[in-house]
Amino acid sequence: MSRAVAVNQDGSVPALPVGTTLLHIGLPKTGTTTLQRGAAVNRDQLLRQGVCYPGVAFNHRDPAAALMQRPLGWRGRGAVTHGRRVWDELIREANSSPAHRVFISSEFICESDDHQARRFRAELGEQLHVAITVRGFAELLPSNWQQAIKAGHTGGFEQWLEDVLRRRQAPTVRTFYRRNDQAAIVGRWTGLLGPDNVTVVIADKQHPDRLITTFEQLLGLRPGTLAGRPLGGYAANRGLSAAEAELVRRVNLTMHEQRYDWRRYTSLIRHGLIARMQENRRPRPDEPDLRLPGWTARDALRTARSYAEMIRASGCRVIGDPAALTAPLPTVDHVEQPTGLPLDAVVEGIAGVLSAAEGLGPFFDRSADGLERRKVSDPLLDRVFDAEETRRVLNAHRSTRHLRMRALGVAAGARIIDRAVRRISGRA
Amino acid sequence: MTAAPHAETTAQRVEPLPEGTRLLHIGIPKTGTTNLQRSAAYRRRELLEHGVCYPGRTLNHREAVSALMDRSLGWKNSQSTPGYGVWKRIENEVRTSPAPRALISHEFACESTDDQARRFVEALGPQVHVVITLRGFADLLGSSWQQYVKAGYLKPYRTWLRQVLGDPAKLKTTPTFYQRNDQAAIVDRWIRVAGTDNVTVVIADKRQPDHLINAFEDLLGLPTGLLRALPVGGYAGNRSLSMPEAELVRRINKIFREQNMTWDRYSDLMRNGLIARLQENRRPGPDEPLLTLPEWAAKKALVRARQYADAIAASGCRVIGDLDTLTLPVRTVPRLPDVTSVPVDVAQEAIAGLLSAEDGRGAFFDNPPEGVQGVNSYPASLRKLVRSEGGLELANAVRATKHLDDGTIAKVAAYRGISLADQKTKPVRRRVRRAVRRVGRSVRSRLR
Repeated sequence: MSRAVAVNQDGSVPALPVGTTLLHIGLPKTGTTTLQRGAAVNRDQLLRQGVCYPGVAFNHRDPAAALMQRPLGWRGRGAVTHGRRVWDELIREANSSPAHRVFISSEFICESDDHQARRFRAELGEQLHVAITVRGFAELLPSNWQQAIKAGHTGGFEQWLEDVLRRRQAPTVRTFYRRNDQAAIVGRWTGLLGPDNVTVVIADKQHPDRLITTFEQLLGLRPGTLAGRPLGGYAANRGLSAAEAELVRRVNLTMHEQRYDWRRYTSLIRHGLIARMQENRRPRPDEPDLRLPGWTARDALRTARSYAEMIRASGCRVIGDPAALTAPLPTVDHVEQPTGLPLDAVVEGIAGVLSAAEGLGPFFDRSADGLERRKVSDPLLDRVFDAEETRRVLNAHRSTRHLRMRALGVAAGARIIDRAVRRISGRA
Repeated sequence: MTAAPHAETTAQRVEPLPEGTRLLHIGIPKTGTTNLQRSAAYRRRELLEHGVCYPGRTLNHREAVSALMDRSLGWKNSQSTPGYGVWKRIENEVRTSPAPRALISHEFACESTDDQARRFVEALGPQVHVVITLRGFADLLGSSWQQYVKAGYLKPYRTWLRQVLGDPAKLKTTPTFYQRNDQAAIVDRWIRVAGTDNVTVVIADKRQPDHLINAFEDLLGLPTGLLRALPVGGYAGNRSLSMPEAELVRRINKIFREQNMTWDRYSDLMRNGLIARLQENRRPGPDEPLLTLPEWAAKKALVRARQYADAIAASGCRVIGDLDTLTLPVRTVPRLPDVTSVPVDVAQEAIAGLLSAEDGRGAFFDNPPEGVQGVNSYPASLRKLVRSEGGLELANAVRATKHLDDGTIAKVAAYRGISLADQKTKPVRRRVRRAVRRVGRSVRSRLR
């Protein structure tokens, strides 16, 4: 098989052959959200230009997790494993679409082991091309810790860094490398599909548009098609400042101590407290962000260099500047644990909890930036109530769904009895 | 009744009030009332054994006093006034009790107008004796503000101080402030209504915290120490919030107001959730700013305190304790700091309290706070349920859904039930559909 043209003379990337399925497997924290959101909000436009971005969700996390049989959430406390059906629906849509190319994207896929990767190949057929977006290993350590914090992790930054860099047996370390061992991931997919069917795209702060542009070119889209509107902090999943992250970490401690389950955690904290902080405030310029202490940066850059070398040696196409993977970054002497938190961060966080607990999402029944993660209609309710009432019932449902059916039944029953008693006894 | 000498020294023992006396303690707020009431409520039986009836079963007589005054509780969008029956029950208990003396206590009573004050005197009869506990006016400004904040108040400390220390006649905010804190007017009013001999002022003195308690023990003819303070946590003792704590609560109050949430919800989630947990689970750090006065405010407040002290001295009523305590200088800061950050543990405890309250589990995830063990926070209708097997979860669910109206909760329960049934029967229905299709196919193929 002759090798495809890596890059055109003008620096652009040739479109993948018609009939190709482009599978974007992450890595996490490489600008995936912006890309996926660009594809999701422009889904119709994509289809008109011959690209199917299947489903209605903003990425393909659930179908991918279903095929991988990967549980989402806290193991033993509310983790969900989607049924195979969720993946089959995606495949059905992709196969029946008139589009020339199919685009599937979820950063969970990069966690695949050999076995799971083979499943993707088996399902997606011959003309499969995998895109792997990568970023400097050292540079993404802070955002990875943060992401763990946003998912309920309770360990401090420095401890986590030590665990990760010394590859200790500790929570999140194994998952971390499953997602971030760039050499292993690139090696796995090139081994499986051949280097010609794998493209590595290097995300680079110097060229923030590169990612979007490269995907547009790969998919044969007109420039600008994947551009989304500028995103709010929630939709863009903006990084937290050190103080914001500390707030979330502290709340996580409470949630774990009190044995909250995953579902309640995501609805109150991820899509309540954190969401509202991300959206409604911007860290002040003097608010410290998370920086690596010197020794960890040195260690991490060593790893980054070995990854870069192995990517180069893998023979797959690399788009972007490999030097960006090993660029030095600002460091601190040691990590300062915040003792005071910005008042407005705490206020927004609490407002988010208040709103989410009422079933109103993070923003008191408003959607931020067109991003509505809440269910606001239901075929069953729509048949009986008007839209307004359906919305109210669904909000109330969200605020009570953590109660067991028996408890909710008793609460409702008690109310009805109470009401009857009041009516009979004539008390208003 | 004998007229008492003025300004007895602190060491002097006070004669008990004559048998048959009903002692009405009207506050004022922030003078140690909660501690006194807690001791009385906790040792209700001992009090009775020593001839004092502390009627009712609650901590204090807030509802009864409000009922008699026809004073509403809560916010404008959701206020309620307890029915007169609540007072009547207390009054009847006092009348029928074999105990020779009675104690009725709530600081709302100090807000009474002449007319309302007369209602108390008429209801309790000629043998009423009114006790007014006072503390330095300058000393209680900070704690007064944070008390308003704990009830949903929105204005910043600085603004409030400026307004409160301006012309009282022009005061637009917290209108109850001078009803509660114009010490001269309050003493004067009750003397007018009840008679000079039937009013005693007790001066609270931080340096001698037992002093106030001892005065009540003496007046009620109780053995010394019977009303001694119970060990209480910050919640039960209603600890004052620090400046960052109060500022955080004030900012959240704004959200409650913007979202038009009700008083009931505020009281469940904030007063008995977020705030309660702050009070109980933390103690302000040594460097944490408290609600001290800026110098300008202290100067103004002490002038007013002096006027009050002079007026009380001239009123002729009995004073237990040292009136000069009312005008002692207070701690000040040159300028109030701006609160831009809060200690991490403030945020953590606040959110934990809110989460717990959202689940109907009080502020402490079903654990009782220090000093209120044995006092059940569940309403009477739920108490039996709480004690039953698995009942706690159900009772908590009842509390966690209290804010939903009857219609909504019925709809939600129905929706949950139907969706659940729908989900559970789905595989069965799918199998049935498939079976029907198979039968159809085989019938058709045989017909062909």
